[in-house]
Amino acid sequence: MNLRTLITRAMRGFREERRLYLSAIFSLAIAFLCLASAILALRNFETLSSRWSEAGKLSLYLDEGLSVEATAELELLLSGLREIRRIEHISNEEARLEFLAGAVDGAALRELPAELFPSSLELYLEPNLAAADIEALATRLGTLSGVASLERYQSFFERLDRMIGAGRWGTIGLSLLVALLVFGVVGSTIRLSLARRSREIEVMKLVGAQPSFIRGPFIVEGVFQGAAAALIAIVTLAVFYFGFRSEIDLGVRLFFGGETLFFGPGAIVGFLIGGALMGGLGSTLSLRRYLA
Amino acid sequence: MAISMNRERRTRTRRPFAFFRADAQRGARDHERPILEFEDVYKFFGEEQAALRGLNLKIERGEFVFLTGPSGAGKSTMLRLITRELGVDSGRILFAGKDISRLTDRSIPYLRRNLGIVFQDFRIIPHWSVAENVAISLEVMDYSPRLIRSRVSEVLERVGLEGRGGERAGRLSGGEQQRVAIARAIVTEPALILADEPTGNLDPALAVDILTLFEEIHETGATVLFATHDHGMIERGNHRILSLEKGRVYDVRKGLSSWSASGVHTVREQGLRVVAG
Ligand SMILES: Nc1ncnc2c1ncn2[C@@H]1O[C@H](COP(=O)(O)OP(=O)(O)O)[C@@H](O)[C@H]1O
Ligand SMILES: [Mg+2]
Repeated sequence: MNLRTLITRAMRGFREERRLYLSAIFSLAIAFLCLASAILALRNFETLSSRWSEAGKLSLYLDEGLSVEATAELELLLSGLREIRRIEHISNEEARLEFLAGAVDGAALRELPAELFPSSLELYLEPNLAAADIEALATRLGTLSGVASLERYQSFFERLDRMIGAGRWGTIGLSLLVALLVFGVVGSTIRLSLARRSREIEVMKLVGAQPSFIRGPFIVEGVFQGAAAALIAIVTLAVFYFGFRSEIDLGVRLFFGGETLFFGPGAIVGFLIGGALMGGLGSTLSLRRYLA
Repeated sequence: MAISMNRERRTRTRRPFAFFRADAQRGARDHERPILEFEDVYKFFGEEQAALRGLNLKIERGEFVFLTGPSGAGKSTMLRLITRELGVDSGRILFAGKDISRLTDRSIPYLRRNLGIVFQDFRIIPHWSVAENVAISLEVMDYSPRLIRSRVSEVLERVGLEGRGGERAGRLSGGEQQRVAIARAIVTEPALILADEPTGNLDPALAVDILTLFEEIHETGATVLFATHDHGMIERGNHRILSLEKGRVYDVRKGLSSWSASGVHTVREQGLRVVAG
């Protein structure tokens, strides 16, 4: 089919059914916005998690009543190790304050003596250490005198990984849901406009149109709806993200250290193409169903 | 004349005139066959209601034929069999020598591109422009927008709507809307033009104008099958007359002077030549 004729006819259809198409695009845009937000959150979690596990951290809890000299000696020993990038000493009092800052209701806890909170050495590891190296290091450090216990945050990582895994499945489920919604919305839009254009379709058949000629503009319109909705979703998400970026990053830094990222150009293009494909596929399927 | 200037160009395009998709060995002899033949055609609606019962007829290239008969005689059914909106129950319909009753669904569009069809109710798209309504016949055939534009303006001139291509078709008067429909039917230079009561919705004076337009189109070489139950129309033209009655067709040769408003029965008593059946 002549491409220019096809586009002209699709545009004519869009003009005639402007309201119908705009409301369809609007509902698709909301669905795509949910999907894009989920994908963005997931990607950021993944990045943060891998960055954090790469630039790993260990906490050495010190024996109760370990002398200042012994602590300094231990610190000196540790600073000689090549795996360790930076050491931070947290005293009993600092540990107490940190705990109180995180507690929901500090009033009753405020009376607790500082001695209850173990002092620790926070070890920031070199990036890109292999898991086996970290394992070996941890075993070695656990046997040092003056060290009461060692926290590798393994359970935290495992929990984070489980969360990310669940988030991945959730996002896949959400994509399927959005795909169904797109098919539903595009399908009912097409059914309506097929009914309204039944006269045109009759005339086209009368003058010898192939089924593909009749379907063509509807498919172009479906592709356009999908792409437009995806574009609106991305723009809306970008406005929100960059509008609230400092707040978002503040929260993220508090928990994870590091900052969030928006979609790169490749991901944006991919998202738009995905929207267009979904729209096109949706219209192809519904034409097969509704166009006798 | 404008209508024939493209014949050469058309035969060189990808799908010249073919209504069969693989029409490679279309013999020269097919061009000598009558444009339309019905051979013993039966069409039933329901078990015992036969609209056509053993219809036989032949229409040669370049003829102008009136198809008449009382309302319900089966005129529309006959035309819808030719356009393959309906299929025959038995018998054959040959279009340019090819049996169209055996066409597959995929080939039907190619058949219709060789037919120009005009209805009583115009069947134009009111919210499209006049030009868009006419152009659709060429758009389905994949012509370039430029060629379509020039062909459409030529044909609008032919039907007396010169320079009105940009108007919304729905705003035109009934007679003008029917001219748009005729332009849409003839813009592809079809081998056969089928008109189903095309003047039925028009005032007598406008109806005569439309008949005259069909006669002009016929004079440029087109074959026209014009269905009408309006004797006033039939009397005006000196054309061959096919009369449908009770599912069969009777051929009233042209030049019949005493065709009267009293209808088919009178004519028959005067000694119709029964073609067949
Ligand atoms: N789709 C249909 N279903 C049932 N009966 C039909 C249908 N189309 C036509 N008929 C019947 O076939 C006969 C011929 O109709 P038609 O071809 O419309 O006649 P005409 O055009 O000569 O007035 C009529 O009795 C009509 O009721
Ligand atoms: Mg009729």
